Amino acid sequence: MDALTTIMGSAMRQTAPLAFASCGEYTAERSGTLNISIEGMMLGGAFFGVVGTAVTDTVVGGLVLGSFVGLLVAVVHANFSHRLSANTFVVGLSLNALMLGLTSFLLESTDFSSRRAGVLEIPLLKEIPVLGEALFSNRWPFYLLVVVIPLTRFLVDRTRWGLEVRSVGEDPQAADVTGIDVNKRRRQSLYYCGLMSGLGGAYLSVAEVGLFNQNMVAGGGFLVNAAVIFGAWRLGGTLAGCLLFGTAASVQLALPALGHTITPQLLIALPYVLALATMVAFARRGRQPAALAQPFERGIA
Amino acid sequence: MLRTHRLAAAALAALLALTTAACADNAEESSTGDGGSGGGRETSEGTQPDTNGDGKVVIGVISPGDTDDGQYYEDFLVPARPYIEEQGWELTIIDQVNPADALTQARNLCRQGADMVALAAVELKDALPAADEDVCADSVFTIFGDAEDQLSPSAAQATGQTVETQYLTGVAAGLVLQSQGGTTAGFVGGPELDFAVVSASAFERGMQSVLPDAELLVTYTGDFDDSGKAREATSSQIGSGATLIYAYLGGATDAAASAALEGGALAISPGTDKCDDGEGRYGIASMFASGGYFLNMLNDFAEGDITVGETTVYEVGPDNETPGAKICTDVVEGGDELQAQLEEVAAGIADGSVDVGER
Repeated sequence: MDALTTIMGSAMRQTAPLAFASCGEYTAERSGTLNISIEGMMLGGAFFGVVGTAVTDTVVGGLVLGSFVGLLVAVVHANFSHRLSANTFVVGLSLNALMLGLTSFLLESTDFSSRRAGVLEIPLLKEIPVLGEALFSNRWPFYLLVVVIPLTRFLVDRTRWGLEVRSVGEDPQAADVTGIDVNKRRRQSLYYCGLMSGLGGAYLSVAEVGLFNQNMVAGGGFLVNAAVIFGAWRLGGTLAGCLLFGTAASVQLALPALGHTITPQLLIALPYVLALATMVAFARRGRQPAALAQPFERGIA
Repeated sequence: MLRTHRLAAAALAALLALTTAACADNAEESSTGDGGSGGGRETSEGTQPDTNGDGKVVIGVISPGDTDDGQYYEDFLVPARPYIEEQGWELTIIDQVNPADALTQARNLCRQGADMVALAAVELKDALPAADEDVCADSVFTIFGDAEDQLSPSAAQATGQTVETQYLTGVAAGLVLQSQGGTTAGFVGGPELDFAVVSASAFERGMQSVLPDAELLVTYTGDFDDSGKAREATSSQIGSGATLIYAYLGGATDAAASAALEGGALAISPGTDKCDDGEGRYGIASMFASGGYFLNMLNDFAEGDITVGETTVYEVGPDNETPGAKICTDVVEGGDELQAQLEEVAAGIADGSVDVGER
């Protein structure tokens, strides 16, 4: 296996969980919610992905349960933020801490046998030089992205629901005047985010690693936030951001194996340095949803 | 507005009062206690094992890792738990402690009546000054891990020979690589800490003593427990030709070993003997976990024989016991013959005829 193939293969594996979650976060941010509880959603999805797999003895069961737990976290977040008008950042941070503690506690009190999704190789396409192995020889849940990405594009850009979601993210007062239930749309987009983030977490534990360990998302949720900013609130750009961070993480692990001696601390910090640089360089470049992170209360302009 | 200001002023005053009180407490705790005396340490109230004379024996353990990780940090407690239960003592565990918090946690254990404070790894050495504080005057401090120099005159210390053990593990790796026809091994570590760097270096020297042209790929993932990164690092090393992976990790060890097996490579287990894991993932066991040393220390404690200010160094020998290394003879083809060669090297290390290089 040559160096480029090694890095590309690793990059795809590291990108996939971020890509699932970013489809959800993209939708949430377009509705005006800056959701910082993705980390908690992914962590819950990762743990209960393993639980679901062990209980049902199928990887599908793990992915479904993981997604459902992500959705549950989103239900809590959405109702606190967009029904009870609690500060969304405080709710998000609290949920992250709660999920870290809860999954750590459950990990110590339970014991599950691990199981991992099988590898699916696409004949012929796998033979394409450099990219073939990386894109077409993966654990089968990886290919769910082929469904999730177009689905997200369709939901947000091609449906009436998506139009309303975008409108409440741009001008919630105007949307409200036209009869759109602003907070309901925001809650719904958060539910979708929870579902996708839970799926991303479950993918990580059930497909890539085959087990759960404490804090296994390790900041991936925050990288998803940065990816949406990097992508200037466009789905394609967001996914490109995920690929950038996934590649940075894979370079961190692949370069030493390829015989390149670089300070490990620098390599470990690389994805996060990139995320910070992204914030600085791109935060003002794209036109963010005008009402992003602004709570909506009817009658208060 | 006025009311808000009054509230803020009251809160500030309360905060200042609390801070002042906290400073006063710290000053008291920082004064030197009676640590450092030799022999079975007599404390203000009693002698070992009930050093605080409260009628019960509490063993407090502070660990930097997860003591349920199924790996190195859990192994520290495996031999000790039944012994403590048998003695009718209490066990208090504080795990996943950041080294920066170790000192505070040691004081907390002392306040809660711990007769022995056991620091499970040298990463927690910053907790040792607590042994000299009044708050810990009735507790005996012990520390385990890779440090042969005495870290504190007020603590009893136990360690294996780190460099010798890792060198011997490297020799085992060289022998296995030679039998496989391979020339490349991988070392997947967590954070790039001093003891990990020393271990990797000694391991490489040992490997190259058998196969001078052998190459060691070293990757630090930054986290002993991040299974995802451990898997990716292992896969990358296998992609670069490694056929033997030293998973120098904690909770992520099994994930790395599974990735090695999937890639057609064998893994080296860190700390304890995992040759019989049932899946054939491990080809070599590097045995340096401190669980046995802790058990011996507890035994001394029960007999009142712990001497603070002394370090017990467990030496590598040809006995297949900790510290040391062994080849998993059921997994490695021709393992018995390789094991015999390894034992010869171990005997050479024990009698000084094998030079393990810089310490």
